[in-house]
Amino acid sequence: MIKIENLNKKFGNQQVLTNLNLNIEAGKVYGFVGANGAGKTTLFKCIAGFENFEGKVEFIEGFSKNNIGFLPTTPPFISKITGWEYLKLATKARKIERSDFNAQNLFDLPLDKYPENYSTGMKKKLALQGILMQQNELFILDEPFNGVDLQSNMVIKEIINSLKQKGKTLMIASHIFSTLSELCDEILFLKNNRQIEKFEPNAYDELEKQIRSITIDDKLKDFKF
Amino acid sequence: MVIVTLPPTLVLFASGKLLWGFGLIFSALILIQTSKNSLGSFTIPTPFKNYPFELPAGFRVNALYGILLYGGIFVSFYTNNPNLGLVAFGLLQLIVLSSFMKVEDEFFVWVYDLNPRKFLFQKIGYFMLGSITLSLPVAILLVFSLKGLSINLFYIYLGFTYFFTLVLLMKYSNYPKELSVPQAIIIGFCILMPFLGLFFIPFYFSRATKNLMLLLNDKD
Repeated sequence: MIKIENLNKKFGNQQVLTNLNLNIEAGKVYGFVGANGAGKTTLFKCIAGFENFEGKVEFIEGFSKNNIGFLPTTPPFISKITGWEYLKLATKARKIERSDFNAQNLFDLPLDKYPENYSTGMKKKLALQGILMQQNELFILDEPFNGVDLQSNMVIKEIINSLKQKGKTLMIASHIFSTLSELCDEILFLKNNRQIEKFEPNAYDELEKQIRSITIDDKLKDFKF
Repeated sequence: MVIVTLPPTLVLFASGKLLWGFGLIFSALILIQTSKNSLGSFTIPTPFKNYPFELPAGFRVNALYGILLYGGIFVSFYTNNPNLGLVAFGLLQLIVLSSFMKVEDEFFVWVYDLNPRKFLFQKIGYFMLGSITLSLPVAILLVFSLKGLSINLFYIYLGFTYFFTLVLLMKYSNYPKELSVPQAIIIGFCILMPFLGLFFIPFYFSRATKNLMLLLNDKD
């Protein structure tokens, strides 16, 4: 479905992604873990078509940029348009004519109000509802669980499971390892040395140990409390 | 706002038109409150709820200015003052134009399933639609009440469509950055010498389509 070959991305002199090779297969759920600044968001933006890069990102089997539902870490909103109008924009931009937004209001959001007055979690839920209503094939979710309440986290997990059952493909970046290990068919670990390592469910314990040793153990050993 | 309204208010008070003077102060206060977002959480109904964000957002941000301009047009009708009507009509076009000028987040360009060419034509189409929707009722009123205005209104509408097209193409040729100073100077020259648009419109159209290629489809 997506073939990534020798992807390199630099911001000025700072190399963010180096010779990254990856195959994303249709119908699978991929988790992405890594420290802040490891390049998860940049990788997602390169795949979705927000960033220029060196290398190749090839969509195969009829997929294109217009099948992608992208949920950024902090979804952007336009001032003075209502939640209903945001959903209308999200669907109409993808040539989908629908206006059943109140009936399909998954998170009971006040769609007649301006999202600029929503809480962080509500904004994220509205953006998520927008990409669900676009009927995409590939969902790129950057930190979907951040800033969202417990009940909504459970709903989002259920949504991800439902999308998986419908054969959709998902790429999820999250710092909540337990949730990712529950949902994902594979987890990809972006390391600070710009390498990417793939883990299947039977190796998730090993991955957790690796993350723990890199992020916690070394630093806490010498820290004076 | 205070500085702008002070001279005409003083003139109105000096000439004994106290009611008009207070009316002007009252209007200015309402506009100041609006720009401070005092209506922030109140959802203003809009005829453009089914259209992309520029029209509904612009309508709400400028609603009170629009009401004032409609008022100006009705005053021109009652006082038989065509110049006031034409100025108010022109400012109405300017309000619609201003709604499209804010640089939106890249997400709101990327999300479109259109190629750059169609994307730009669609924006121009929505400007024309918004402009006609808001100004047609008052244009009809002016045409039937003040003789000889129809050609002037047509020229104003045409002029603003030309001006909008130029500014929009410049915006997306520089996107996601704001318009640059040289571009603003070129806009000034194109207003003074409209024939320059024959060169600059195709030039910026080509630059804008290339610039949008990353975020939008390159084919359709």
